[in-house]
Amino acid sequence: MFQKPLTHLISFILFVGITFAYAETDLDALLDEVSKYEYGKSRESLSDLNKKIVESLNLGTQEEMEQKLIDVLNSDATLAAKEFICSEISAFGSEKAVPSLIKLLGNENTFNMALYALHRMSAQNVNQQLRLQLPKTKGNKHIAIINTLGERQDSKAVESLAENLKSSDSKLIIATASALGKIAGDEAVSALKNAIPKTAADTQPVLLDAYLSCADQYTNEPQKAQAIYSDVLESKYPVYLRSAALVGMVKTSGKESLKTLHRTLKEEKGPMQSMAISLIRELPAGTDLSSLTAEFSVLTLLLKIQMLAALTDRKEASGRELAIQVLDDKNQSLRLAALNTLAILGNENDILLLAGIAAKSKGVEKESARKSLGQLKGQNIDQLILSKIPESDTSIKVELIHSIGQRNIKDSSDLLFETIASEQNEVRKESYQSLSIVADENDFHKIIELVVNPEDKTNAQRNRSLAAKVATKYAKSDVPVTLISDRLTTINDLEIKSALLNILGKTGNEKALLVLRNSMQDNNEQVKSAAIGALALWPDAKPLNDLYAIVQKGESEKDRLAALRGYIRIITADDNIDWDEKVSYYEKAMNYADKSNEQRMIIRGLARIETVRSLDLLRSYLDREELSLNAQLAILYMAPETAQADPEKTKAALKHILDITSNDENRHEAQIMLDQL
Amino acid sequence: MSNKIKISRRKFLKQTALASGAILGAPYIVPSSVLGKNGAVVPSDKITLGCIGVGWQGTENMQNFLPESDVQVIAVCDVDKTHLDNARQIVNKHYNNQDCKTYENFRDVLARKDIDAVSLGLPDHWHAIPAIEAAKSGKDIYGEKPLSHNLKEGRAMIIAVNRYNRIWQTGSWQRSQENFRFACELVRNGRIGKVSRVEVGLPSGHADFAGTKKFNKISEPPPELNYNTWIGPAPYLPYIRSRVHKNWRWHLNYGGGQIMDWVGHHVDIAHWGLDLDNSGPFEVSGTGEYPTDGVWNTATKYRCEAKYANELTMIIAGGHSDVRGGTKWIGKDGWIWVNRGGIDAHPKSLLNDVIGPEETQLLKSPGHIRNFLDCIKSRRETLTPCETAHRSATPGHLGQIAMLLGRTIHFDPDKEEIKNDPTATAMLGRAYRSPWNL
Repeated sequence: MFQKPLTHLISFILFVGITFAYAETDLDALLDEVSKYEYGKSRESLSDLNKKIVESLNLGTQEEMEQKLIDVLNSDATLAAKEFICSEISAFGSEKAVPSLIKLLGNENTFNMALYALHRMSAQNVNQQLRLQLPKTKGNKHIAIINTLGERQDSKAVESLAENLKSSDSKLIIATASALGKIAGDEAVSALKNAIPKTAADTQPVLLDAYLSCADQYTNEPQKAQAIYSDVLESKYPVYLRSAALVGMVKTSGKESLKTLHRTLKEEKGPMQSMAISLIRELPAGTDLSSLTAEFSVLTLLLKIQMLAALTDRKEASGRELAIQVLDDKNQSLRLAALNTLAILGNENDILLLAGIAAKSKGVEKESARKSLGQLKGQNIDQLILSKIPESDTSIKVELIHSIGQRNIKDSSDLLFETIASEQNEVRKESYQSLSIVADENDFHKIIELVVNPEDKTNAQRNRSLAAKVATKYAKSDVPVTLISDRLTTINDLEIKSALLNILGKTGNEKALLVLRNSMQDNNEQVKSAAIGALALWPDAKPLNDLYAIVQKGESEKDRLAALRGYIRIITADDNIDWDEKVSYYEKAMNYADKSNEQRMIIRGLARIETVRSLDLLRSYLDREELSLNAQLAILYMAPETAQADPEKTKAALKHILDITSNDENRHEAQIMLDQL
Repeated sequence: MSNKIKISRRKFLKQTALASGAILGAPYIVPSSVLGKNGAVVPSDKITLGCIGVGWQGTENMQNFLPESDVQVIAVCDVDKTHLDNARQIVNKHYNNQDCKTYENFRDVLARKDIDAVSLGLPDHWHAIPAIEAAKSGKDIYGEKPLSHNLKEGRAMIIAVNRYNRIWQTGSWQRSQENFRFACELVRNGRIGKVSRVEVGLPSGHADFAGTKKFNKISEPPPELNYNTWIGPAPYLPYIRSRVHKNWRWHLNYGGGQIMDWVGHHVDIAHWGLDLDNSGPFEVSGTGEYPTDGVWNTATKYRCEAKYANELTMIIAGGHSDVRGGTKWIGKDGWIWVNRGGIDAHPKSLLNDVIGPEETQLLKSPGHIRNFLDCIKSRRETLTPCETAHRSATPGHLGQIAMLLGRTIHFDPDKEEIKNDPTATAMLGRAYRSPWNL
């Protein structure tokens, strides 16, 4: 009973043992190869070793691997090999690796790679060993070890590092201060505080930055942090350092810093005032800002803009009052800032104010006022806008109607159906625009009525455009298509019939496609042409075959051309068509394109595909006189992309351009690209 | 991609009228000056700018600052003399004078008291130190994404920027585009219901942006480049041309590959839509394919899964065809997808929605650079402050560690600590080559 399993077990042990022995041998051979690696040679062995290291890490067998890597570090392996091993061991090396790495610090050529490893390692003895190196090193090496101790936040290094602050070597002082700033804590603070007044002008900012860094790290002891910030803030140090102290003070003191901000705003100049205003954002919600906003009128233009921005960001109601005060200012930038503030802080009382500004101004100011009116927040705003339209003067009315579209105000279509009949053209125009946004499928019957029975010719085009926009928007719905189909059966006016077919063409709706296909069989030539024209507007590839059949066998030149243009347009527009298929379609289209416009459309489309197939096709056009110039430009356009996929074909195409072109610029650019390839 | 090639692309766009408004950017709606009349600004009222790092992206950013009438670029800085000369010429030509000063050492730029702000356009491994030093010098900062080369640096940058209360804008410019903002507003306002999954599709592979892939052997650095400073705080490696300008991003010493190049765009947008600008994942796993040989060593194909509170999962993938390029939020009632120049939704009707005044409305940017300049003046927070950029990069940093270690990372997004995994914890930061220090 037990014989078999035991045999299996022995076999298994033997198998594993042999496998391991093989693996061991493989690894040793690999390490041997890696040990001889030189920069610039094949990296295959390094890649293989990396894979084995990752495997060992994931299997939890890295101890043995680490020892083998340490052995390489201790061997006479090449520098390149040791650099690679240091990089690998940096991620998982243990205390065991530290002595070998410390030894490598002693060699000029291996110092950086060893420190790279030690810097990252979490082993307990790294800091202690690095501290021991401090007295043994000089210059850049000494500084590099200080940097690493700083990054590792070794608090035990502070005492010995602090001595460096008394040095006359500015590089040493800078490295030390930076390290102390990262380590932080009372001892580091004390060392920095003592050294700051005594240090030279060029090192003082670094010490102050380290001092501030220590303050930032007193997250649980805000008083200690504030003492540092106050130290720097009340000094005569450069503005950017005092600004940083102000930042820290406000972030740690909350409401208490209001007085500091106010004092800064009143007593200081330019950059400090600017910082104080910027920090308004950091004050706790609910802080009474009246002492700060009271200074608004005496601030410079730029500071006013900054205060409006800060109050807006905080959504402070007082910002609205200040903004209204400066809406008439002579400086446009301030007026624009005020308008931007009203977009966020404005209320229902500002509707007519903003509409009025939009009505009387031009350009960017008009746009800003419109944008603000479009963004005004409040439950009643939409209803108030609608209610004010009938009673407003034309220019204000136009702006209010414009805002309907911007705000997408629901239940406004009834009003807009009235205003599109206004006597004022501006009102009509704006009403159509907004209606095209807010109208939904329930409004479609009214819209079709407008198309079928236009009041006048000016509105006829607007009605059709409105119907097309709304039908396209609700393309998935059958409502617009059904309404139009019904009308098509009862209407005799060919112009209106054509217009309705045209609307169907833009929808991309399945049922609309059936209607159009049927209409293409109509006895009336005008209806047939209208259906072809409508198919040419189709948003996707579904009618490609219909169009191609007309391109080939259409009865009239006009229809064939319309179909060809639609065919090319759809190929270009529909991103769902496979690129190779697109190239084939374009090739077919070119056989029927005898006008330069269509030829150019095809070449443009091919250039955008940027595949080797499209390159091939374009190349075949280089020798056709009527196509050559555009084909050259297209190849030059796409060459950087096709060169990735097929450099040889790209080179051949560029050489072809050199052979045939009479255009100096194209020749020049083809030559440059060839040189680069 | 070289500037020349870009010019070709732009020329083609212009000549064949291919460009859409979305590509070219919307017109500014805020005037170019807060202080000036009719956009004119007296020289003393201009924001003075120093551009540190004027290679590829740095020069592009600089060129985007130049047309702003309330900015004066007065200094450019680079460790490559060719870059420096080129940038100086561009600036001087723009202003029609010879006033722009050049520097090799960024500290000399920061020491200038007459400089208000800096634009940093440096490789990832050089993001943190100049940014922290700039904040300590009282400058406002335009920096690039990803915020930092590693997570610890990112936090150190935030601490410095906050201590000195500086204005920070990250080059995550998609936030300034209409389609991205609208997509995020739709998500924020619950148009697709509770979001349980967000898919972020990023590029894969290694693009040879500098055309230097073939220069893959050790050689002497060119005389115009101060290579030792270019390496700076990163571990030293001998000069190989294909590892330096533009293509540095494909080496882990200096960049983070496609994933880190792009998290600052599409993960940034994913976070913006979900109001996660101050939070992060609690668990990240991932798999990546890393080249085992050659000069470049960042992942060419990758897939990470990040789990967030409220049963939200984010997929970040490059080279996986099931994840569409861009950002796609999937909610209980539909989905929204957005990418450069495109937006799509299910149901489609969402795309016609209007965000009402009582709903969450995100800032309509006047342009990314313009937003930064306006915020310097108003002292408002920009669209992509330092903390936001750090949070956008975090899933990438953690994903990178998870991929390199081949295991799931458990993370505390409040304390920013990896739980019970000293190896992964060690990888959150790295030592700097002496004498550099944060």
